[in-house]
Amino acid sequence: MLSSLSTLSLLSPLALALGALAIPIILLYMLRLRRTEMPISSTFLWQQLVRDREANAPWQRLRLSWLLLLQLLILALLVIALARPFTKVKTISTGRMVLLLDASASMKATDVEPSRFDAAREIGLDLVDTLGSDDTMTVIQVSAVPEVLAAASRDKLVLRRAIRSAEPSDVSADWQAAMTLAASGSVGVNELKVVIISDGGLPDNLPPIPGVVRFVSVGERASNVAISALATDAMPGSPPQLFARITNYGYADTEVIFDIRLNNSSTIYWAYRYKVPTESYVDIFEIELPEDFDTITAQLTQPSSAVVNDYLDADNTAYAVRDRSGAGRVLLVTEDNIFLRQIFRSLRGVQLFEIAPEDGMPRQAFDLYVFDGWLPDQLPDGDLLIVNPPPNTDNFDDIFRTGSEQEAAGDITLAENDSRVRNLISYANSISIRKYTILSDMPWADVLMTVDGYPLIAAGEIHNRQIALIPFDTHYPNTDMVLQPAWPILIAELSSWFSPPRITDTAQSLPPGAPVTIHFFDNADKADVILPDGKRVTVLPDDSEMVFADTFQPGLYRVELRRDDQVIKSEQFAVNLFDDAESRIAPLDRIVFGTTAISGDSRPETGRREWWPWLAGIGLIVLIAEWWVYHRRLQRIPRVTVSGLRSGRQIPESNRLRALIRRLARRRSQPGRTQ
Amino acid sequence: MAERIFDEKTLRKLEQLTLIANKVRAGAIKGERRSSKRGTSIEFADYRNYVRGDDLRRVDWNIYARLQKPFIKLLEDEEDLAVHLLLDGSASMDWPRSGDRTLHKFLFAQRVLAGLAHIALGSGDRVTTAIFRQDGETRWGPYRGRGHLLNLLRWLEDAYTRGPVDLNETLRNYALRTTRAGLCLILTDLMDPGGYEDGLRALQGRGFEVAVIQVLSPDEIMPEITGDLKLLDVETGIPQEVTIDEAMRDLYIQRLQAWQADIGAYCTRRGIHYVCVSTGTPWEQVILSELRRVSVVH
Repeated sequence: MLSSLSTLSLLSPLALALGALAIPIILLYMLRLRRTEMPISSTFLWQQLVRDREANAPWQRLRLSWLLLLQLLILALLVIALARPFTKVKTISTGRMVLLLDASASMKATDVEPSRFDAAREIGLDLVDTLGSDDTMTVIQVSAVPEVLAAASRDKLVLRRAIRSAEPSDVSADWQAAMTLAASGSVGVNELKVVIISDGGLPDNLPPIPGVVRFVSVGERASNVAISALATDAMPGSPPQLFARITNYGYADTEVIFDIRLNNSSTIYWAYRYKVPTESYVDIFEIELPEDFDTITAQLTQPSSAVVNDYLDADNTAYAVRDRSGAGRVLLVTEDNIFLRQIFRSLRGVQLFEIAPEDGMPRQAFDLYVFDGWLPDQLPDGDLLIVNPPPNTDNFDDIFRTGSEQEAAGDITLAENDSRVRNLISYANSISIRKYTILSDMPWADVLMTVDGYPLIAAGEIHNRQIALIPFDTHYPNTDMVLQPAWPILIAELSSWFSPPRITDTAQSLPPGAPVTIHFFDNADKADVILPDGKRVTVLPDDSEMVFADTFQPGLYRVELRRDDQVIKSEQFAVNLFDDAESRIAPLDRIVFGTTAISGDSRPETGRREWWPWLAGIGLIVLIAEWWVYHRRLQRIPRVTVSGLRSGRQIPESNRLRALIRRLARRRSQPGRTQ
Repeated sequence: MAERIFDEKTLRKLEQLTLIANKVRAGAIKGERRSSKRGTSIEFADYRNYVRGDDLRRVDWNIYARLQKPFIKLLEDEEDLAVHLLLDGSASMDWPRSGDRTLHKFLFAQRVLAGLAHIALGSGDRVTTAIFRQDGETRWGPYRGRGHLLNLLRWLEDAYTRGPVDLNETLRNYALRTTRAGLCLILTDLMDPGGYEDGLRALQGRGFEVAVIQVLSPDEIMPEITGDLKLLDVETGIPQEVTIDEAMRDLYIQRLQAWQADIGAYCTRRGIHYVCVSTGTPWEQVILSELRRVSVVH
């Protein structure tokens, strides 16, 4: 402090001239109050009350007054504050600068108390304190979407408020966008200085930016264990399984307890203790999950005996949503069609059940019925894929009729604009079919593939169900299509067509901030998105779709599709950090721009630390004290003194005290009197 | 003075009153008041032995016939009382200068003076009134008999106040220049920085029986002014700067009460009747009640 004072200088020394205001203040204390004149019958009694020998003189003797001293002190503080005293200090940068404040997830690490971001914020505030009078600063918060919090401002109050308003997030930082934003500030500026306060994690391919770049590194430790992957899937014919990866980014082996909870339950479904080697990972895939779950919440906790700290909490929790897309439960009724069996078994989201025609139709319902070379007496409720129907069938003439078998003679033609067969176009010329059954009376169906003018594949919707017809035997050698890629493509496309529509396309986890497309169908008029924190956001369709981008919180999101305020379908999706750059919290001491490496923690410039706010603050406190003294005096003592009371006179409290003290002093001074 | 000093109803009330004096003084004319001097009136007082030189007309011949011894019949002499009504005409009595005129001190004192004069004249007393001003003393009287009342009222209506008056000096001069002592009633506010004691003492020294009626207006008894003020004395013109707040006002009231107590104590000690009246009270009440209380009026 003393060394700082020794280098104290003034930015506006002329302001000290305002110290001359002390003279009028003192004169005001010496000048009598100008009073209102009022005639009175006699001043006889008032004269006895007021000791006023000095009252008629314009000036009075200056007496020591607390009020005067306090007012002079306030004046002195204000004058010195106006003179703007400062001390020179070493600082990171001065001039016109852009401050990039890293607000990514890794800045939440607590290896620096209370957090890296708080430390970065303090550095930023310190930088503001040392700004010169002509210096400007732009504050940019770097997160998934960089945000300018203050633009080229000299106002330290604005800059401090901007820096204090910055908050870290659970997202990855978009440094490319931040640098572009920072570079835009260099237009018309001779020497732009970009100050990056970060723990590293900047990509290597950052472009060089005009001006000088300074880097301030925050963070001290690297210890962090993260769930770096979490997914659930079910292989066709197998129960759903979990896949997780725990990564140790620290420099020492550590142990963690990995637990999972299903369906947002607080009950742990499964937990196990893993030892994760330094800078390595452990994959977990042995956990079998039940059939009836929708979401998984996985969490890492450190055992009480852990010796290595985990400084970042943001990557210790991960979420997964079970993918329920696909045709669902499928019943295949066939004598023995290996081509249909194999293809349905390989499809994701399909649970295949197979029976022979002579077994009869089961009672339970299925999502999709596949009849191969056979038709029941009555078609079941549900979607139908009818393959090689018996010829000359008119049992279902309200849906279709079959005629005789025909030899295929001409080329196969595809409905090129139909998405269900668009992917087959390149195979159309290589497909050959010997015989097919003539289909007719299907005004509801779209003909997807034809030969000789007769349909080979037809599909459409009737009686609230989807029906596809393939009127030829799908065995080799009747067709070689089943031996070509066209076959699985066709069945997969049809299966997808049979599948119920999805609200979102997010089968897997999304990174924070990634947009999600919400599809509106079944005449849905709006959708509610329930965020992980419980907040509900309503979105309206824009041409049957809407892009929702408020996915900055990691967690489980639920989308409810609504029609007339009734939920007609809902889905969930998960947002997870899963960012190696954020989880690798080891602080970097240098960053690279193009071919230039910039070291951190350099303070090459000299800045000014101004003291006027402190002086103004002390002045305010003294002002409050002066106000208090003034009002206390008003309450306790009348502003005139009394005298001339000859009999029964009333002595004010203060005078009584003085009289008592004088009396005691006289007594003590009398000789012979003992204490 | 344009104001009517008193009405008929008040006059009738005053008719029944008489002024009394503890020490009766011999007068030049027999009046309705008993005198300690034995005289030639018709009321019997006592007998004494005849001595040579006594007026033979005063020998009680009936007693001589019965007792064969001459006795002189002593009769109680009835004499008139000299009543001096003195009015302070200093500028401080010209207050308040605005507002309700009935609160005006000088007018109030004039009315009380007229009332007392009416009583005295009605009792056959010898009445002298005087007003003390800066420009000198104005006297009316001495007169006896009710017939002079109208004359007195006219004289009072022309009365006015002026400048400062040294109460001590004025009373001392009055005592010296007055040949016949009697009952002296002084109507004043006593607001004289020089005091009043010497003047009263001089009056008593000349044999006057003194009664002081101090007249104050309500705003002098309970001032309602506040703030940072420069008070201007209307009598002396002397300014007094003072900041008046609640505490200061309380101090003033205490000081006024202490001052009045001082006056009361002095008057009691000297055998002087003292009464302090506010102009807020009806003026006739002063005579009918306050002066009766201190035995100035019977």
